[in-house]
Amino acid sequence: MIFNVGYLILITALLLSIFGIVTGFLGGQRRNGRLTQSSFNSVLAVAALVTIASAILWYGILTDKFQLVYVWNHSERSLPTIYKFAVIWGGQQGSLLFWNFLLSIFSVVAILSFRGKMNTIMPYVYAALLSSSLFFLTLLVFAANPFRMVGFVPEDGQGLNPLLQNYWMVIHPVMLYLGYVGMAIPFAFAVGALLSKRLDTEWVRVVRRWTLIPWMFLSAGIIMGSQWAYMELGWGGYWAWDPVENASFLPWLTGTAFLHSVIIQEQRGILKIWNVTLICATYFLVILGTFTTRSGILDSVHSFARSDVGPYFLVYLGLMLIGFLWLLYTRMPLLHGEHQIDGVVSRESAFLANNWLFAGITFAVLWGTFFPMFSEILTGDRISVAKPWFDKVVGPLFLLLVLLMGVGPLLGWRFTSPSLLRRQFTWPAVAAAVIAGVTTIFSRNIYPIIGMAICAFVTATIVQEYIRGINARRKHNEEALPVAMFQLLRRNGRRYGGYIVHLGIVFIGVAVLGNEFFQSTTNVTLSRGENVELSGYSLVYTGLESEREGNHMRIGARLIVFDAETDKELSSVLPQRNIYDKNPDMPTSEVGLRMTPIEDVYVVLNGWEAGGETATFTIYVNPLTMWMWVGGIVLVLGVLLAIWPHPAPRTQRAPQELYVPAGAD
Amino acid sequence: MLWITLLLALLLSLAALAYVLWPLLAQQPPALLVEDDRLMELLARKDSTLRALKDLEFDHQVGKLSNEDYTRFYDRLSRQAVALIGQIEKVTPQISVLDEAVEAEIAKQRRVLTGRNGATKPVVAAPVAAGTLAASAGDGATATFCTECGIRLQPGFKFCANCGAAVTTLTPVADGIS
Repeated sequence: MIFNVGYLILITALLLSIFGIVTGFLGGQRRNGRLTQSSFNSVLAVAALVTIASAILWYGILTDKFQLVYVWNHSERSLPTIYKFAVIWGGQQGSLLFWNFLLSIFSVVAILSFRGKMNTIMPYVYAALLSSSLFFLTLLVFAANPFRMVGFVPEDGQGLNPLLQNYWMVIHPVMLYLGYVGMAIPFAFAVGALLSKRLDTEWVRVVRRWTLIPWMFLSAGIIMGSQWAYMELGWGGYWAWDPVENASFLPWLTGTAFLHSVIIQEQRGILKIWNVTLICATYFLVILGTFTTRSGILDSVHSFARSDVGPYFLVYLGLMLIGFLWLLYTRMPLLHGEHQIDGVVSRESAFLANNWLFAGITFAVLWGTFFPMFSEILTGDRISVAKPWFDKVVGPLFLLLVLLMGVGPLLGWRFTSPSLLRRQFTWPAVAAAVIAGVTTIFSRNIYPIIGMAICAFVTATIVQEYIRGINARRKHNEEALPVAMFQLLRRNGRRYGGYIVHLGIVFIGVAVLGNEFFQSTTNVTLSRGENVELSGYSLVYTGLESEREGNHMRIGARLIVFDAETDKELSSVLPQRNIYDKNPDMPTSEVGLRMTPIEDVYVVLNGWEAGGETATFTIYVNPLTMWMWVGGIVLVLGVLLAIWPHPAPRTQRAPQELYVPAGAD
Repeated sequence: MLWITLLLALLLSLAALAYVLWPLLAQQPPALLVEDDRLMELLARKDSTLRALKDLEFDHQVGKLSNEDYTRFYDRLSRQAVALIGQIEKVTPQISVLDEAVEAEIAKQRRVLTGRNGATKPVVAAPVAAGTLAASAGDGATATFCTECGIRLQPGFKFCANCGAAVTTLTPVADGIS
């Protein structure tokens, strides 16, 4: 049976990954070409086997082979094909295989792109990548076999979790997984640099792009998750500080800190210990996050993927921690900084402050996420810290971070004199003051006023940076405006792409401020033809509409949205409930939404009576929410600009390598 | 059915195993690239210093650095870059020796051209690329280099291990100029 082949080749992949780890490590130590090549081939062979195994599982899902326990539990005949593709990450075993599949793809692309380069580090990189693969293969072979079969062929499957039957859920987990898995690449390079003792700036320089790529996926995954929560969960918000949300946010925080601090190491040769710690912490948090969501130690709406893989994760996390600390301890003499910071008012200092803030936020989120576990261990009672705690602790730190996002780019490397400081800060400060004034019209609360002022300040610094950059190019290279703009992005893509990413974050910040401080809401039961007014809108309930769709029934309540002052019809919204055949007791919600750049009218259908004569709604008016999704798109565009290969300066490179016949050692 | 399953799994596993073991069993292993760690570190530092200089210049152009600070840091970074290049040359004397040899060759070609009163006829060089260039190393010994890629050649090599160019010891380059 083909599914037995899937399991058997996973065992082969596991054995080959052990072999590849040994040959990679020995190849690196002895600088032996044969061993190194064998380890390289192991990465490719493991990737090929895992890909075949994934293809076999996909085949089983798409052809409704319900004799597979996994397919039986997570799929059904009437499931639309697009969701059948998603079944592979809809449950524990499949998602672990999918994770390993993505890791294999990432590993192959990474090692092929570094073929013939950084030859001292690469054997260890192969070994480190294979050790990540080994962990997941161990889980698949011993604890979570996706090819386990029942002794009969069931008539139909039990269906996919209704919450996952949504377009965002088809792409959101893939994005997150790409983000998580991709972090294995910089982690492997950090381990490679530590093991080979090649701790100069070269590894951080080459690894930056390989961190930006997963960072982009992780950011996009988080934003898409927020979008899904906003559209599907129907509680009026997009972020609840749920443990699973935090699990994706924690590596994002340390990864972002790393992306900033590597710039200082590249520029000044300092923060070497901090950088290896940050990237190892990022991958550690990826694994920790996966562990928390799958072991069931933390309650969460995402707890559908619980199982007995917890102990394996704990052992792996322990090994990672001990291994990293040992490497750090033994390599400490090589990790001392090469320079000192020249002045307090410099971009280095801003980057340092940025890193402290990121570290502070990471610690706070980590503490808040694991507090229920600690409280249960210490007192026997599970006490959770909720959204208000996170908002109160993390909110001000984020505000400071956004402020630094504006201040940092205005400072030069090394030192900025007071007169130049005044010149740099004048226009952004004016913009901040104007927006603060405008915000006071809408609110007397000091937080949104400060928040909006900071967002304006950062936006103004970005605009100013672009104007000055373009002017400098026009002046020094005598270029026309469009050429100067193009060349600025082409030659300084990293810096100016980074500013676009910052702009995306500002947009997200504006949306958060709008939602946190200006949201209005009401709960109401309406009879057919009756209306309710909220924040200048009048909503009239016209009746229920139902429709049969594939494996579920859609029931929606139509409301017409009017301008309350002019009585002008603006649009109609249709909040819905989906009742799935296989999970009738688990109806999902689909909000009715009228989205504009100013504010969203957001309606949730809570229930209905007398066949739809009356219906109960929760209605929200969420200001500026659209900017969160715009910010997400801008952020991704910024990363693409930053990672786009730009022409390297023409420098005469001396021969860097000497070739000797293999086996000469 | 069971036999077919086992056979298929076995075939896939054996293919993967053979691919992994092949480099260890092959008669002619691929050339191993060995990096000079010290040289690589110096080159990385030099590159990072040059990038810092570029950023410094850009910061100055966009008005983030005063003229005095720019000059001060520019001088400091330039000194660092020069010192690093000096160290790189110490680690790899053959590079500077080769540079000198190449420059001498260019000078000779120029002299030939000048001797012909600036003749516009293109000067055709001998196929030096496929040969080697002998140069005097710092310690007085004669070292042999590939003229294609500049790598120092081990005695007795018939081909350059780096670029594959055939090693045929040539007489001085000037003899090859028509």
